[in-house]
Amino acid sequence: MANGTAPAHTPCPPHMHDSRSLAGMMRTVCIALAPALAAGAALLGAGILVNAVAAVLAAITSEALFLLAARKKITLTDGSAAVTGLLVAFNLPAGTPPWLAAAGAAFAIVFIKQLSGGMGANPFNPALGALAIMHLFFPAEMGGAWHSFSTAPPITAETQPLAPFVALLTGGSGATVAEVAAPLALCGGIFLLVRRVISWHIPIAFLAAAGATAFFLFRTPGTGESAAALSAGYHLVAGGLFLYAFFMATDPATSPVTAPGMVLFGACCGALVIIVRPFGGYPETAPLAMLLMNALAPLIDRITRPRMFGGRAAALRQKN
Amino acid sequence: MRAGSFSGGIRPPETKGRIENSPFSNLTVPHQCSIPIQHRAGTAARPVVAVGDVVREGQLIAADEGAGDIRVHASIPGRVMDIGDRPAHSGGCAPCIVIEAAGSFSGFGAAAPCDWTTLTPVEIVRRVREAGVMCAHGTGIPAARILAPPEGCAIDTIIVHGAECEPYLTAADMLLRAYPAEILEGARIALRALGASRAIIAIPKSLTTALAAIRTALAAHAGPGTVTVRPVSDKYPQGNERLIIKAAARKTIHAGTDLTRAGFAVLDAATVIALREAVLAEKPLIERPITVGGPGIRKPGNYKVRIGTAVEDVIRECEGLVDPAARVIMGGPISGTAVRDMRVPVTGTTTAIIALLGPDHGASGERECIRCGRCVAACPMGLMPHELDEAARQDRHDAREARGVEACIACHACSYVCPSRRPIGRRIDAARTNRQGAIDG
Repeated sequence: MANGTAPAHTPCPPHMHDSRSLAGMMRTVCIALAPALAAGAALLGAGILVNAVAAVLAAITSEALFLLAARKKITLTDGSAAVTGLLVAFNLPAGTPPWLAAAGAAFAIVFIKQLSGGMGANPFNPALGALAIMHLFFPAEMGGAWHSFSTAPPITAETQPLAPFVALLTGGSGATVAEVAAPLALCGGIFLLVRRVISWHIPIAFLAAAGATAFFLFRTPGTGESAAALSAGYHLVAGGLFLYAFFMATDPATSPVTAPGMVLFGACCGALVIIVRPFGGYPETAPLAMLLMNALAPLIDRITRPRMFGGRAAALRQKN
Repeated sequence: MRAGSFSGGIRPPETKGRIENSPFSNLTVPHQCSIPIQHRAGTAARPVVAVGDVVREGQLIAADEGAGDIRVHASIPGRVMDIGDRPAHSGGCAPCIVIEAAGSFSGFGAAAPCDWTTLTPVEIVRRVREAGVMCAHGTGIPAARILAPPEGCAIDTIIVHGAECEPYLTAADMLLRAYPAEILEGARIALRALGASRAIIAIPKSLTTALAAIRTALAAHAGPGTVTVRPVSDKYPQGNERLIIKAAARKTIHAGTDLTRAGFAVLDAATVIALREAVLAEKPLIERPITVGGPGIRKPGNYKVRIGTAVEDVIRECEGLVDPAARVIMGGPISGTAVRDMRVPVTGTTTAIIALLGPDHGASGERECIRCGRCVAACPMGLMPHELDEAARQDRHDAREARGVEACIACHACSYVCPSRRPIGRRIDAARTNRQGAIDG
């Protein structure tokens, strides 16, 4: 069985590879997140940076300690732990104590990533899992939502259509980096698309479905199409949706592998995240909606298996 | 016309630049040739010369009239120095006839080319068989076999293709540009031999000069038989037989069906040229048009190389390697085989000798699969390579895995795109070998 490591000069093809590597992809993700983090710190204060450093350090340290204790190969150089730490920090409200940021990141790595399978085999996105748990157990420290979607002001085209957006993007007590830096998160996501770190399937399907769902769910009777579109736009920008669409839903381990599966997964995530907003019992329900889709990803893979070359004929012939 | 294509596949970076306009030149004839007489395991031809014999250029030196159907000719005139095992590109050793150059290149074959339109199909096949023409793809199937399918198989369509679609490879492109009329005539000869209704010349759409050359030749040389030109995609692995049929004739032939039974014959450009020379001038196959290229070669180009020339002799004639640590590959940089012994000879199925610089990313060690789906998107056979890889690692063979392993065409597109640098294709290959071993044994 040829399952050992390759010799120094591989005798077998291929002799050249695509330039994208795991570590390179994770590095690009960190670069894509950096401007949003800087903007978040500028708008919400230096506490954001302290939390980010605490979360990243905790993620890296806990991964190293776990791998050491489990006598596995230390694979920190792939940078995935740092990305998990950053994503946790991006969704913490300003004013979250640094110890909680660190504990959340460590929990994400140890319990949701490593103990449930390790790199690539974890069923749930580590950052999302940790955020859901943190919202459940530390509602006070997590600050609650500084804006509530269930009581979002009805937007009309007549009365200052841009005011709610300005309010969103300048932040308030309890706002997260993902929320105030939404435009930069969108730019970071487009950067990932251009660098082909992620494919278009999940984020585009996510945003299209989220926009369509918000358009029909939040339209106020008698206010017209433009108001409904504005309202949908508000819901796309609010709640750190771009970060979910480009950085969390695209986590390869917890999303489907086939292209149609990715479109279906992205669309379901987008629709679900919007639907749970007015009906959810917790202030921040998006992580729970996404975790539900993580759980369904293997099923989506199963129903969207690619057709073998030659299709059914091939399968039938082999059976006989 | 819209280019035919297939789903999946990869687009490696286009790196032909430096030798794009390099017409063929004859590589200096080496002082010694080790001519392999075995092309597939278990089908070695029987030498018909003895050590010490003096042979002419093109003289028959080994033959196998049985299942292998190989005929091997002296690629240089000289004296037979040895008959025995020599290093082979597969890694082990293979029987070769070693000839040391002596005497003159007196020429061979018929003096005047004949008119092939008067030849019967049986005579055409006989001449191709006598000349020992081999198809470059796969494991070197004799072209005569393709031209004489078994009873009950009627070939309807012949596809002549110039699809290489790997970085650095330019030989097929240059052949199409330099010998369009010859390729056209070769296709018509194949049409006559097979009694097929049409021939399609399939050329990657990016090779615009080659496409124009073939179209001009088609307009200028009227002849019997329906021959059309069809642009196909320039994704890798377009050169695969099933994928070239899919792209050129829009027909999907799944892994379980023989191409011949489906009514198709696939020939590459070099084979068609050799076939034409065999029929017209009774010229045996003693040289191969190959690309010597890659960043590690000082003087890259397209050359006609005598079969049996050692890789080290070819590289020396191309002014050597830029860096002695360059990785030398026989075949394309994606699907080729690493050359571990520089004495390995060029065979009738060699398409290129490539020297790559820099470290092999595949050697830096694999990481865990992150289920990113790149291999799934790249697989032209519609498989889920990461699952097959996992099954192979666990030595698990249920029905779906078995089907996938059988359908895999070993293009290694999955390994190429894997960001975790997992040798997916190699492990699927190993699983197939194990399966076949289990069935045979």
